[in-house]
Amino acid sequence: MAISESNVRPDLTKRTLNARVALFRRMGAGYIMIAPFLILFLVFAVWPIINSLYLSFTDFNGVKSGEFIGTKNYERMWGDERFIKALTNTASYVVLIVSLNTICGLALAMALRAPTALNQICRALFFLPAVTSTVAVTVLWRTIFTSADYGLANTILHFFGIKTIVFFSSPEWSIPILVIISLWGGMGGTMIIFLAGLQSISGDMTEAAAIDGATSVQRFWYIILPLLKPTTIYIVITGLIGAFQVFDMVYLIYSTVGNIGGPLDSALTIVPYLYDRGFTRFQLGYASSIAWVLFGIIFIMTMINLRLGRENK
Amino acid sequence: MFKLTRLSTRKWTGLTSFVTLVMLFSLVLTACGDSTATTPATTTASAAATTAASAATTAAAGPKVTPGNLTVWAVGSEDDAKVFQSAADAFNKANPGVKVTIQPVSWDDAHAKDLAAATSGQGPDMITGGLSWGIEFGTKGAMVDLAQKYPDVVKNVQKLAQPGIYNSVKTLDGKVYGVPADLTVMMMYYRTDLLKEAGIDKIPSTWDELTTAITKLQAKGSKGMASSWGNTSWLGWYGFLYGAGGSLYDAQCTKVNINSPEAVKSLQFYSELYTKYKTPTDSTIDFEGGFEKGDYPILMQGNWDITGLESGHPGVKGKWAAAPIPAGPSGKKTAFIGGRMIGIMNFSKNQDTAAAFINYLYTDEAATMTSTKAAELSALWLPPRVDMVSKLQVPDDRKAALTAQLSDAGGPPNCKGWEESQNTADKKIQEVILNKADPQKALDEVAVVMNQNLK
Repeated sequence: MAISESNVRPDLTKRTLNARVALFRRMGAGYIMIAPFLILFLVFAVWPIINSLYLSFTDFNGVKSGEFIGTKNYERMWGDERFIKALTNTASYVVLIVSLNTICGLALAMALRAPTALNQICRALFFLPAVTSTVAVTVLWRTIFTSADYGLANTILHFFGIKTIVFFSSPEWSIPILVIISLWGGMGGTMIIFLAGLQSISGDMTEAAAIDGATSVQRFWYIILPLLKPTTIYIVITGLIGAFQVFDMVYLIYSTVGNIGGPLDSALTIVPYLYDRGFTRFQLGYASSIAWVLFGIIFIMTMINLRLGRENK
Repeated sequence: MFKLTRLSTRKWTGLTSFVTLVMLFSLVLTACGDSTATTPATTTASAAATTAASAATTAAAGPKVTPGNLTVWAVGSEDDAKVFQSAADAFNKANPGVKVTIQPVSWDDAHAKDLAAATSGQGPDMITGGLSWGIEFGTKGAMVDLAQKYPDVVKNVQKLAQPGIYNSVKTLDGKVYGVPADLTVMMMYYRTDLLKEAGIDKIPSTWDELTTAITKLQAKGSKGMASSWGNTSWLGWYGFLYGAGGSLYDAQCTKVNINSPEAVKSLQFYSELYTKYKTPTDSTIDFEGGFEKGDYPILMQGNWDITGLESGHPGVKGKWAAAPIPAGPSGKKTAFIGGRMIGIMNFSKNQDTAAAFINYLYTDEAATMTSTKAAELSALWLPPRVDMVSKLQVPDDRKAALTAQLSDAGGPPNCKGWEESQNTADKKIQEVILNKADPQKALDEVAVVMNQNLK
């Protein structure tokens, strides 16, 4: 039976109104306080996201409003040789940097976990690159890897009788160079997070295991590592997100006139390619579709990680 | 109850991840440009020089100036903007009530900033940018077609500008969205002292003389030649391609010529400069520093080093000279010509004044003023007028070299799809240099892409 105004009891309407007023009294201040953030979030985050999803189905060129072209941008992607190259390069980079960063960060945390003065100094030294700007770090490594006479890497190689390697124009070196630079800049931060995780593990457990005859390797493998799982998952997920979005290093080292991917596109990763399509070639519709594919990849990887972490609880 | 809690936790985790990731990603999209289009225009500049003087005199007559403010986003360094501002100041003085302000924008930021301005319909009245930017922005409706709205201004520019660079800013159907604001051209720099020591009496002016000189210099302990501008790319190869008698497209942009026998021959030679004659492929090297130290006594570089070299590398003073790039088998020494264009945004409310300012930039007064200011700042601002080279404040021998090179220089092609094809061209050229791929096969593959994009 349909409810009309005539058969709604007035005392019920009043009660509802009173309840709403009470709710506002209780929650209103909170809503008002989060309003500045919420408005900015909606305008500068939610709206661009929704808009970019729409743009991914158009041929928007940045100036004229785009026409709806259905899924053409997404179809185009799979036949786009450069996109596939960017995707494979990004995958190689992500696998290498996330695994090495996690392993090296953990190794450093284990090595420097004792609260001695020397360890404190070492921690600060290893953490230092994490607070240095990527631009400065990249410029430093450019100087190290250059094939000019002052290049440190080649000077060391020459010391061991190895011929000059022209790192920046050798396609096989592009991803390793990006990984080395990221690792140097990032493992200090990872170490700090692992140190925090290690401090939350009670010493009693490892002591008890030691008394029961567990070796240090067994204690690490069977006690410390499982207890560090939440920390590890956090590091892997944030590492994945950051690694998939690598941009500044590639741009600073490999971008030249008309080319953003380095020799033979060997350093071309997804976000620089997205930037190139969107802001150099004015294909903002296509760039938006690349962004959404990247989002999908990161989302799936994150969900897999969370699921794996939960299953092993 | 447990199940319900678990489910909501999952949902919450998923939602949180989703929102976090989308936020991160939107930043990438919201936070976050080159190349070109012009017919391969290799030309002689004498015609322009002949008509220049008379045209420059008549340049003062043009669009009506109305009082108001004009903002120009000038791509380049702060010094470049100061050079440009010197002309703007004179224009302001001559036109009471008008205020032209030049704001520098770095090359890294300019393309994206200009695009944001075009998208929002708010920003500067005028922009300067890479030669192709006028066509890029103009064909998308962001810039005024000067040929249609201010035909007299464009006629004046056409008479005065170096023909190669003018052809680079004109679309095939005659639209002109930006005119050259300055120009840059590839040149050869060499160390006079080191060439003499190596027994090289004649400036290398052919490919054979170039390779002979490199061999002799290397025998004396130096590293030979370096190519700074356009290293291992189509831009660096351009001069050799045209020197061999080749071209990227035909003059009407109806046919792709990049895999012609001449082009193959030139790419073979260009790659040998790297593989056989050890020109460095690493662009991170400080080539000017290497030139000063004597590592690279021959340097292929843009004309900006004509004035800029000694200020950054005083040790080279009195030991170097500039010359046109060596001629190829065809006898041509066609160098790549680049530079900046200046155009009017379609949302500008002062379009007539902006057009008048463009006209003013082509006067003798403005060209002299910018050159003088550039000399003060040890920069080289080369007006796009060949006839003005004689007024540059640089030694006569360098002026002569510059004039000689400008007499045979061409801009990037303005054929459809060249922009999209450039990356493939670069990649295939690099495959030949770095992976020793067959030049014919590599260029055939570029031709396939260029033909697809030309349709």
